[in-house]
Amino acid sequence: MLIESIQTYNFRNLTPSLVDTNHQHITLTGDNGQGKSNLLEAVYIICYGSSFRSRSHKQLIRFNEKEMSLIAQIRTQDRHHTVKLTIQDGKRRIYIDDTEISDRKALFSICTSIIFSHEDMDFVQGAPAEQRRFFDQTNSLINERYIDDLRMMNMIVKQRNAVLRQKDHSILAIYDQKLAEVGIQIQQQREETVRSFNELFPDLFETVSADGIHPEIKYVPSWKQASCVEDAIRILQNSHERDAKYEMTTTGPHRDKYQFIEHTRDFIETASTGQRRLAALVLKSTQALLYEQATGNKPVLLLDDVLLELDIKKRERFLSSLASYDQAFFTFLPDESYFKKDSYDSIAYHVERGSYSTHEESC
Amino acid sequence: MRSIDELIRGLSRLPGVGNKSASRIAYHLIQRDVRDNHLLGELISTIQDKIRLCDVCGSFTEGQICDVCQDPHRDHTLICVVEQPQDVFTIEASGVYNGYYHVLHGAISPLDGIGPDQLTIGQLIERITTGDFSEVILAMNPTEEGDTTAMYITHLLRSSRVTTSRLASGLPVGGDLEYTDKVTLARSLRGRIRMSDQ
Repeated sequence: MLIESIQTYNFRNLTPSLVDTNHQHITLTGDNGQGKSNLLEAVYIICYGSSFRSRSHKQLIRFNEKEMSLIAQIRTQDRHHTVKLTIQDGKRRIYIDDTEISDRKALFSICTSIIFSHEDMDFVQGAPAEQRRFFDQTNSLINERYIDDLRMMNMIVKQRNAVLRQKDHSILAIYDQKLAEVGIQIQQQREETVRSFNELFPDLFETVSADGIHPEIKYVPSWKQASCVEDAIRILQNSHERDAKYEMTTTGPHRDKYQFIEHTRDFIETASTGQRRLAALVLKSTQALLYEQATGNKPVLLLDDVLLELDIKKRERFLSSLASYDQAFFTFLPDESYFKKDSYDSIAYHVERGSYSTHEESC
Repeated sequence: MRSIDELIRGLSRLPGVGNKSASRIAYHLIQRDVRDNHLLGELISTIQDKIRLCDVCGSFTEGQICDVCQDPHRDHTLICVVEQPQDVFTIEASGVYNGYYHVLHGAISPLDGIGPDQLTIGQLIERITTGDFSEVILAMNPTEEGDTTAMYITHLLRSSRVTTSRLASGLPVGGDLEYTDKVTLARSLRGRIRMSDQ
């Protein structure tokens, strides 16, 4: 898949324009705060309907403006699509080939991007909710049904918590049953995905770091002793007293955790900042590889200033370990060395105050 | 103009009517025969005085008991449980059901403050235990709230003599498998019907 062009209107600080991206490599250079990452964010929004940086629609609209739009021309293996996203009066609307869609999930089958950014560190060392978010993203990319199960589970947990707050326990057994049914499916998918991660992640990390470290991912489910719906129901029933006391569902996949283990020890506790950053990058690389394995499609890669953190050798090893891709966007600072004019079909933009110009134009 | 704006605002509060439709209706109302508007206004302002809920099933009726509940020729062994009164009319229009109804007036959703006590589940259990019904058809919507309500009623009736059934959900008639969404397809597969025992 390839994003041929992206047109922005009142999006963040970007000057309204049509940016030609019909190339395998798109490099964006410029000082901080000029709008390099904003184009990567626009691509991400076109792929998923929401941003990786902000949950508020308002933040995406240029200062002092009331509406924004993004239009992308996307080429997939056998088709061509136009994806349009608008925000007007605080309401987001998404169109695929001029037809409005009601669920942004429909976008996922058009174009998939994987963003590599500084915020990825949270997936390695952040709160369990951040780690769940990363693995849930991966599961949603490789199994279309997962996102429906996840939405259903979140709704059931909210309803069950409301029951606990209202102290009407006559329907608690029903929510136990429902949570157990969907929760076991989620737990099994998470187990399977972590197994797949461990077939790739430790070796990839070792290859890029070249320091003999081989960290593995450990899935720590909240329902440790549950392998079927009946087990999960039993665990939920046993936690009724505690749940009633805290007025919330204290066990279930919404409380699952992930750990990074190296030789039975917690890797993150002992890892240097550089190693944690590398783990975050390799985690995303693995996500891209798993997506390609599961779907046969190549994702669009968005690398936001992350190569800066790697020394030259690690950078080379990291780039050669990346999943194959049809298209990749890179951001660089002005003095940073980036790809030479090489065998890649590439275009380089200089970004200044939200305006894009090709390097020839800016010279 | 203030009076037009107020009319558009009022119309756009109706379900399924957006701003554009509300404007179109408002301008149409301004330009058509005033007698039609008076008649429509009269119908709207008196509808709540004319329509009430059936004492037996909770559906809409103009009398004390609805036509369905008064009909002795219906199948006394079947009762169909629905969320809203309008669901009764939808099922009646299908022409394939000849039993009785019970309207819950909602579905269980603790987040919205709707528990079993806010619905007519108590009356339903009473009707089932004192009536001749042998099957309860749970025709709630295939939503999280509808499923929860169906499971709860099944749970309450687990030791009674009646059987409970749920409306099948899945592929639309005349639909195309290729364009069916994954959730619907998964549900259809789970609820598939056996065609032969071999």
